[in-house]
Amino acid sequence: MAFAAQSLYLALLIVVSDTVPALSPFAADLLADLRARPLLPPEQPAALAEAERAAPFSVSRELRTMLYLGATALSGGLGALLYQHHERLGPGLILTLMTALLVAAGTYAARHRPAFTWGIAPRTSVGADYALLLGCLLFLGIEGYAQAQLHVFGTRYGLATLLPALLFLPLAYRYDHRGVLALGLTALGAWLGVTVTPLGQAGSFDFMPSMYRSAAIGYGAALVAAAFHAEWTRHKSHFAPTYLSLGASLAGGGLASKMVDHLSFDHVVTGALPLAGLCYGLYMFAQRTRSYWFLVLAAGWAYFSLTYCFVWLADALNIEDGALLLIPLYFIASTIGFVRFFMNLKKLLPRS
Amino acid sequence: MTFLERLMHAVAAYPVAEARHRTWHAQAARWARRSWLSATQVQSIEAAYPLTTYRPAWPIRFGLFLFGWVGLTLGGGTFLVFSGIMGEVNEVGAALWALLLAGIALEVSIRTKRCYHAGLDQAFLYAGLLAAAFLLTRLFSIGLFGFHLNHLRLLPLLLSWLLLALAAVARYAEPGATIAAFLAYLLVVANLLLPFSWGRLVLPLAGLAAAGAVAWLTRTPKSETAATYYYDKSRVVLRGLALLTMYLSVNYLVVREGNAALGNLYQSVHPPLGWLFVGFTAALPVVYLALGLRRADRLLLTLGFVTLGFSFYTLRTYQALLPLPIAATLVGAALLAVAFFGLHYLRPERHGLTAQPDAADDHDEDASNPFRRENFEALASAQLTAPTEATSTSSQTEFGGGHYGGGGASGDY
Repeated sequence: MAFAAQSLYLALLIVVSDTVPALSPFAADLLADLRARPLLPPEQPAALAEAERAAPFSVSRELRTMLYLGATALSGGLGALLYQHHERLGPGLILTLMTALLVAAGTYAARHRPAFTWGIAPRTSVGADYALLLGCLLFLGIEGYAQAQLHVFGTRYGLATLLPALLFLPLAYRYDHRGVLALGLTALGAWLGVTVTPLGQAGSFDFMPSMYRSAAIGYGAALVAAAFHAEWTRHKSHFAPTYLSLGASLAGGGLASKMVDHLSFDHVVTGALPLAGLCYGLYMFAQRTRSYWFLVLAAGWAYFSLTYCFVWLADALNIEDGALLLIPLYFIASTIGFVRFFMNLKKLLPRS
Repeated sequence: MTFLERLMHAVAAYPVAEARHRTWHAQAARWARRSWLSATQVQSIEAAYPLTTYRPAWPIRFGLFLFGWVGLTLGGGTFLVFSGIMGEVNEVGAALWALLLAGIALEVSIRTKRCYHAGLDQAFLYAGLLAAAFLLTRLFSIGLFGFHLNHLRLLPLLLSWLLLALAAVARYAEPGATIAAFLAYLLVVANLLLPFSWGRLVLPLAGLAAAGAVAWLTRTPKSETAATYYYDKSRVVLRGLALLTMYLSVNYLVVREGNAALGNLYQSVHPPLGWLFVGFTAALPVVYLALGLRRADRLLLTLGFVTLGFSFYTLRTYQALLPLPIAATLVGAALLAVAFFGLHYLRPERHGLTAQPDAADDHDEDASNPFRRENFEALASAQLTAPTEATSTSSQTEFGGGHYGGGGASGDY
């Protein structure tokens, strides 16, 4: 049995292990070809091969993923512990632990804080980024607990949700941290949501009350505007994608939910037109930053808008026999149009 | 010439030099990012190995895929429905039409638009494969309800699917078709064993062996030929799938629940040879991680982390040692501790490893992409905290109000 297990293990090792050479076969092949061409100085291919062999294997991404998952799991676990066991353990122990951790994380982050700049601040420590994130997540947990159990804010629920936003947004700018920015924007959104509909659920557009929908569209539009301000005035322009991703999904989702509510000319004007404006904004942003993702997003929302207008028009003109031809024709022609748009991007987004 | 070489030259849909040139361009770009090559040197290398095909950045490929797919299914579909073709011929006729349309669109997109895995050609390829797979189902007259893996009469259909997918891989060397071929291969293996009681017993080990054979065949080639470049994407996809399948087929949770499902058991029980699978579940992630680090193999290393997570989930499913919040706290603390230790220990290079980021991996051509690490982590944080933020303020205040309000009152009196 032991022998069988051992041989199985050995077989496994042989199968799984892949002798990846220090110099990848691709690179070796390319260098061999380059030696025969006058493209590089004669000694450079050998130097490249040597440098490639000596280059260490970077586990930076793996370590950073562990930091992110660790910070999220730790703050989430502690937060849940606080709620589940507060009667048995009393708030004291876990709250003390969380506050101590918060102070430790905050101190570590503060000690390694980068110098302030409106551009991307050079990192002084990878760990400090995640310490700050952990601190902010812990703060949310502590604050929620303090409100639920200790009634710190009384009935001023608005203040309870606004406080993290007021804390996180300046921190995000000072420490140059996109994660903290997103947390701050989420908190600000929650504050707006709470003011509009106290029991409103963020993120579900299906049965969105119109008041909440307007708040979502307005807040989304404000975030899009913030993204444009950041990008065009070069004030933390690398924050723009975060603003724009959150803003476009909020505003686009809100407008789309309004449009699918029912089919009317009113919604073409108040839904499809603003959505087309959002698409144009995304397109301008993509053109400026050469960010293809926002271009695809713009195309997606534009296609939604266009199809809505087509359906409204077909409905308004009351075509019945023509629909048999018109509908397939619309889908084929419109998708060919979008495909051509994508394939001719080189001309639309000039590379600098 | 090797077998692969002859096969590729006979059937390849795309220009064969293209794969080699694209790989070399990527390699030169990596060296340039490490500042081992100057920008002009990269330009001269790119000019020496010209590209003749069209393969845009991934978001555009994604967009082309979506619009190609929508055009083909909605456009072609509504055309079939409204033009009455659907009424006159049956669904086999419709599938034949779809196959024809997709096939023409695929070859046209490659020949005239010079697409090379550009999203558009991939959408047409998948549509064609789906239509062909459906037609084969009809050819062997297997209905939806006849699809039982424990009847050997399914074997001809599965083999035909496998051949179809393999033919597509041989011609297009496309990742999606490669995944389809691998799944068909696993279905064939399962169908060969499931009709027999001994087969059900050895299924996990057979899965390990079948996937292991693929993992062995798809190891890094010793030297490069035109064919190894052409099929390299398929090779890497197959290797990843094979390594994952090796783990999953002997994972304790999969074996135990799979046994229960096959035996129609109401509640799963410790399977035969159970301890062997416990051992595999514990050992394989460690083997993957260790070999990934030792051999600088990113694929093995990533799979090691993923399988380690699933092994912990498996452990929790049957032996919940600690309540979830405590487990999450401890796991989080352990992850942070390991990561901080790693960051400091590997600050200078040690054992051929380093905690410093590799400049070669940093594609800064599209810094605004939300899927870049910094942007993605920010959005993930928003996603993680948003629902609790919105729900907790309402539920907390209600709960807190009722509970603590009473306590406060009693204290006052």
